[in-house]
Amino acid sequence: MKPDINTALVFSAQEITSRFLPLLKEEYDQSRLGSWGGLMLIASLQLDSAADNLYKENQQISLWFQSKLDLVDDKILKKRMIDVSSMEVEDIKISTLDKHNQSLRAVFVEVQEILEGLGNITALKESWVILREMHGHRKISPLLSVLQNKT
Amino acid sequence: MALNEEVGLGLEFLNYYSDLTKKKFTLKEINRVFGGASKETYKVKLFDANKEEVNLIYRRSQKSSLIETDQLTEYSAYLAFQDSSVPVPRTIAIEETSDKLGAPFIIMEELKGLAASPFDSSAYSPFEEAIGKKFWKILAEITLKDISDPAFTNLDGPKDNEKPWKRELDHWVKVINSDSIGVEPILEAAIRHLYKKPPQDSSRKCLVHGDYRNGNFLTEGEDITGILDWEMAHIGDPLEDLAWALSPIWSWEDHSKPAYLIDREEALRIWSRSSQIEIDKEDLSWWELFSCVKGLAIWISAGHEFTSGDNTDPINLFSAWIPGDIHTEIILNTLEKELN
Repeated sequence: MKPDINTALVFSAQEITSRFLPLLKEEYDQSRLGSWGGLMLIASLQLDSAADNLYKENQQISLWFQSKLDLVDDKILKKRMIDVSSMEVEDIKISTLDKHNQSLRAVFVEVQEILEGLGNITALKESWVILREMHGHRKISPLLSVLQNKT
Repeated sequence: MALNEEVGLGLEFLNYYSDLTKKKFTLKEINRVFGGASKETYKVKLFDANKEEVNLIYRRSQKSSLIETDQLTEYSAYLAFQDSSVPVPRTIAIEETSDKLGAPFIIMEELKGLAASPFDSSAYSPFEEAIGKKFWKILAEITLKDISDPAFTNLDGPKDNEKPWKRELDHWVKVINSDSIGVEPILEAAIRHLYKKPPQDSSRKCLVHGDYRNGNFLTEGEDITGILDWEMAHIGDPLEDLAWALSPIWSWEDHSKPAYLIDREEALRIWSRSSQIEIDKEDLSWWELFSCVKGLAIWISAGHEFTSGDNTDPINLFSAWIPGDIHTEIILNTLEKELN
């Protein structure tokens, strides 16, 4: 088995910050290269779980749409909820899953707006649980302290 | 920019500055400052004929900038506060066209002091108390500035009966719609919420700095030596700057002390007493949520610049990833709480 991309990125980031950064004379260049090192490190930490997160998000939103069809009167929106939640993706590339995720998000915004209009607190709370989980998948702010001296 | 290009830039600057002042100078060094995404900022050190050092700040517009603003806005604000209780650099020159040095620019004297990272929780230690009191008082003094000052003629602001909150919200939503590279339901929910529950019309319009926060001022010991980065200055609601400066993004590791300075309640007391403005808590909450939307508009714009290849400075990627993540989380926390 070959070394994986994550490991390569981590070591690249380390080499950038520990070996090459000190060679630069200008503070601006040091800060800029340090930022790239930090951002590369974040990318490496996100990469492994990215496809899995998107896959789970897409499933979760799709299931939620199916359970909320009765609450939506707008026939066009209802059809879009059905279509987008039953969409079969060609492969599980991150880009493919993300494209599907974007389609789901666009419909999600409209459904949530309708629920706000209906004042359906239970369904709205469910929608915020989904948004909380989605945000959790992308959350990188805990790495702020790692980056603090590199940006 | 390669080192030679930077030296070339320094020599062009030297010629311009010598012509401007009708004096002879030599270039000691020119160094770019990291972090500013809206302008290329350089520290230029010159020697005059007596070998005395002259320290200048040279801010050039970028071909692509995170916040697209003209130089005049920032320069006007600096002009308005020369020799006042709001410390700003002494202005020297502005060129609004690219004719002289290839890009619009402003020149100012360099102030003493250091700018901290807004994400460094110990940046002002051990002077948090003294700096904090000054930070919130200066913000109040900005709200007291007479907006009929001729320096502000060119500043953006609400026209006729336009409401400041709507003007600002419309503006940033337009930026989001233009630059967004994906759908963000949390942000969309915040925008709907803000339009549905607007604040009261502000009793008075004032000068708004537009980016008043830790990181955008200089300190030396317990003194604030300069308030910088006025490129988003405009006329608007006094609570806009207050809410932006209070945003938990600028004190992410300790929300109780906005800007990593003093307690929130004390900060509000100082600001309210100095500005003579009674704070309506609901209105302030509106502006605090608005700050997240405005912030996200800026971070989305940065991400757009990066993705399009127009400006691949890592600060743009950093902005889209980390501050964008934090402002999204603040919205999430706020709107979840409203629902419960």
